[in-house]
Amino acid sequence: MTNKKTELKRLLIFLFFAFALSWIPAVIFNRVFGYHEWFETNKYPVLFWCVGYGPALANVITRKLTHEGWHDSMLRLHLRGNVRYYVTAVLIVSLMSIPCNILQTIVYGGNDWSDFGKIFTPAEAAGTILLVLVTAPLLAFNTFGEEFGWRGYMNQKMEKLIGTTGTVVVGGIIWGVWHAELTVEGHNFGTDYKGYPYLGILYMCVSCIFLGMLLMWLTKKTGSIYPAAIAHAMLNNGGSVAGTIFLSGIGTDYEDTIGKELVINIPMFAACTVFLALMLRDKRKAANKT
Amino acid sequence: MTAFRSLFFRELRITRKAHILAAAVTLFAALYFILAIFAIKSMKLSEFSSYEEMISYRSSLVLMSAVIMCFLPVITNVTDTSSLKSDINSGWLRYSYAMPIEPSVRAAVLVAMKLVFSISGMIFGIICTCFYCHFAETDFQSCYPVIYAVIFDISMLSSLYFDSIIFTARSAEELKKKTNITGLTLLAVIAVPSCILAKKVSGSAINVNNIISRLSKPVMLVWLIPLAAALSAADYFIIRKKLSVPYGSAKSNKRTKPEKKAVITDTHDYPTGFLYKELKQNRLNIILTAVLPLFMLILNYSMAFVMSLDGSEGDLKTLFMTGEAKIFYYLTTALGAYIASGLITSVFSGDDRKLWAYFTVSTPQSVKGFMYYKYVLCFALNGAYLVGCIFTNSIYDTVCYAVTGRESSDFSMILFMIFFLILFSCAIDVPLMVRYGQKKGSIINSSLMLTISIVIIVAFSFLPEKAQDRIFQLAINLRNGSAGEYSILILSISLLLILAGYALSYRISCKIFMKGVDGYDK
Repeated sequence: MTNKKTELKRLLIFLFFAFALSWIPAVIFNRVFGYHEWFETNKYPVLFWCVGYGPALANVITRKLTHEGWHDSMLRLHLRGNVRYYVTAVLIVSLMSIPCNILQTIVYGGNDWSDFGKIFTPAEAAGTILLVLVTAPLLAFNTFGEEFGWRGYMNQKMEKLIGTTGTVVVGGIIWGVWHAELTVEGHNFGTDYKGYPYLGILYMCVSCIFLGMLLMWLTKKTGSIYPAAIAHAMLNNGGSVAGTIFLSGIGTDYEDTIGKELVINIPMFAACTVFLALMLRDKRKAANKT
Repeated sequence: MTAFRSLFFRELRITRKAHILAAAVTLFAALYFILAIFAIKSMKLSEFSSYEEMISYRSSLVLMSAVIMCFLPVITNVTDTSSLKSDINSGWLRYSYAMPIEPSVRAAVLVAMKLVFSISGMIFGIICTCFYCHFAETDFQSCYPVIYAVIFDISMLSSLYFDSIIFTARSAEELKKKTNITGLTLLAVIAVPSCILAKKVSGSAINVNNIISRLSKPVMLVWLIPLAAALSAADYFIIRKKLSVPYGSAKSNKRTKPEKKAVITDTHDYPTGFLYKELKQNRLNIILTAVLPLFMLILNYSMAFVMSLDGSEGDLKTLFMTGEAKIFYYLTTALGAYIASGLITSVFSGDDRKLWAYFTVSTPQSVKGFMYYKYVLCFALNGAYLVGCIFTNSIYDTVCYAVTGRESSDFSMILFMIFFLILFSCAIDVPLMVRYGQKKGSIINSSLMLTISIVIIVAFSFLPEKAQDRIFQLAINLRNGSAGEYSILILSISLLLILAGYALSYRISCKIFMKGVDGYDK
């Protein structure tokens, strides 16, 4: 039984390495090659591995330095009895994108449903959605680098110190700030918005807080980081394409801003809060049993 | 002489399966080349830029057939270890030292076997080449006998190295290890000089007419044939020396160090049971599968380096930019996929034993648990191979951009297709191996796949040209993501069906597991 001081020490060592191993290469690449060149094109694809796997490497280094062992590494699949969580990981992003795009049509499309179903033909829609559902989970190795660090180590340590809600909030802020080096260069939101770059970083933190609820729930339910990695991969690689069927009335002059994104993603944030509630309920049940 | 005849007959009996297989492979190659020449012959003159180009294509194909029809029988006979393996496994090798059999007689028999079957194979190859020349309406070049002699000499030279190592083996494990090491070394040693030689013989680019004109000197046979005889004699002396002692080298008698046993005190989430067994048994497979793409990339770069040995920097850039470079990269990727498929299904090797099968059934997890971990491991290995491929592809694209300044197109869709193809192959292969054992199952699977491939290739070659072009264009559009709406739907449904098929394959394997047990070895 390790005490809180030891857990805090381990957490701080992990955070140091997670940021150092990701930010130092990211800064160098941004200065030498430029963010667009190395991150958004296929010119230097190998460089992504240096940045994306920072948290995973930090996990490994921290465990080695602190002689912690691998007993809670969450590297096992635990597929038996948990297939529904794996399926949830594949489908949840697509399902959450539907109410988000419906809201976008209602709020920013003037509730004009005349273009509904016209972006894709039924065959295209079905084919594209199926293709994404089948192939995007295979890209989970890209997001494994982050999830093995955040959900596989940071969340476990943090939960012992500040509880589940605290972990979700603080962990989400840390995760969002970790993206800052890329957000500043235009990742996700570009560079010509009001409040650049602070608003972008703030919104990133907010998104990460809510998404962290979903990913943490998947991790705790299965005892494995793979569902979280799959859900994260779905998010990064077109998992929300299912919702675009419901887009309508969005003109060519539509300007996507952070404020609008915040409104559009309300259904997603609400859904993620449900997962937090489920985690807290399970925690209460476990506490009552003991 | 009596001893020689008896041993020769014994060798024939032991190695008959290997020779039948070699003959079947040679016949298949012969048939393949007939079809290929027929396909080229049916092309019209208008499809070529000139009559000379048409003849050059046909000559290239005949030259390639001559090389392969000689190479196949010679190399399969020269590197055949089935006889030695059988002697070691049966214990006859050790027992024979108590019998009045001279090592010189043994060596003479082995060399005679090699020469008889190699020369028979070469004669068949020459007859095939004559037929191809007649069928393709090209002349029988005087370089063909020279090529045959060169290949035979290179093979006998390889055999000297090969035999000097493997004939020191006195146990099955030792033989397997030495065969693998010598095979890999030979591949590296032959491949590199061959490329340099081909480039030097043909000039700045591999030109078939240059090769033919430089090798069309029958006078070379004057020293090639005696060289072959000398190499055969040297092989005889090497085998005689190695077989003169009943025990191998001092190294093979050394006791192996006891394996370090990790003492695990905290077993909170460590694998146990069948999972532990699979991970422990297949740890080498797991590592090899993950790093295989890196090996293929190194092979690809090594070939590019060898091809640019004339020192011009422009050549290195050209090698990355040309279509040939890309094709070669795709070929190494395909070869890697083929090897990975073999590595993945080899997780079943060693488990086709009655004793183990009955033990499995007696455990609480039973057959379902056993098969579950096998299938999960196969899927995980396939995933590891995919990750390895994507990583090495990212290295390749980065290097390409650094050398040429051009951004490469995205190759990941092809890698995903390879993932699903390997999964499909496993879904078919595994139930066959479970039902018939690893050896028989692999043969049945290979025969099935070969038959289907031949049928598809032959059917495709008989399609009208427009239809062929449409199929190629569809594949290109799919790769570029610009295929029609139904194509994407069909593709995505196919991938889903492959996943469903993999799950179904698991259920089938569980059901037929006990049926296969009766056919396993004890």
